[in-house]
Amino acid sequence: MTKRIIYPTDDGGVAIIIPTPEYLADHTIEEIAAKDVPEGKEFKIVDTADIPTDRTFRNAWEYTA
Amino acid sequence: MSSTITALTSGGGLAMAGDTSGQLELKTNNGTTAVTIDTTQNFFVNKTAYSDTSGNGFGVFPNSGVPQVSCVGASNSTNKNFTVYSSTDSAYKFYVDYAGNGYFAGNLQFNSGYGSVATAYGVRAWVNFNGTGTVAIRGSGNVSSITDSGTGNYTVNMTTAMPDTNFSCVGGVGKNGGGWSASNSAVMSLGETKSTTSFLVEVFNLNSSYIDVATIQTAVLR
Repeated sequence: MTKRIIYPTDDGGVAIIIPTPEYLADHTIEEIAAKDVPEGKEFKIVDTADIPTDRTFRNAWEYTA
Repeated sequence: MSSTITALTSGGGLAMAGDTSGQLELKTNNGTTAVTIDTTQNFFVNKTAYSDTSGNGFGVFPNSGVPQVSCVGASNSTNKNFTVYSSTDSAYKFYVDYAGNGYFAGNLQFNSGYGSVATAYGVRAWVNFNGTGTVAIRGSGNVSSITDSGTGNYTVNMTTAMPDTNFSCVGGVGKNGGGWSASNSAVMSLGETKSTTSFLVEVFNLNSSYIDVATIQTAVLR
């Protein structure tokens, strides 16, 4: 199961980090979170299947802690 | 077997022994083979044959099919098998390892139709991804991830940082099929904000609306 990292954006939305296969070959998803999530932001690691595929209202998505 | 010339640490200091093999060995320290010249004039230092991968050494093989120079280390997977090393600052200037990875400490220069030999500049990072549906990365180099921050709004996160933020971003997008119109166009803004490890990618149409498209591709030159 592939993973994504999500964190809240400053405007109340949610950002989704998509790791590259090349980086995942040598690093864990936790290491990617440590590197690419902005410092001080809370985040969660979720299954890719948990991310909606209908992006019609993408900017209305919200982060739930 | 070989005819041998051996440097001794006692006695007369030199010993010679001959056979009819036609191969010659020079030995040091009372018997360690240092140089071998075989019957087809292949020349080995600290090796005795083309196939000998034990110990550090090199060979010049003028008669083994294709003329070549080979440097082989004791540990093939980690050694810098062919090197140019500076005695002035004790640093490797050029090497190729056993896996074929090359390293240049200086500039890479070539002609290739340019008209003269000149320095070429490299693509330091690249990524191609789908910004629709389940956002997915098709391929990349020196990119750890992309951040999907909203419709048509992404950040490319690089694995190895740039030395400064003066790098150049290039790229393009593919529109999502159909005919050309203001709403069906797709243009790209690159690097409006950037750091040494990331840069912003935005995609929008000619109606000034952010849009998702299936083909987004960008690269960093430096």
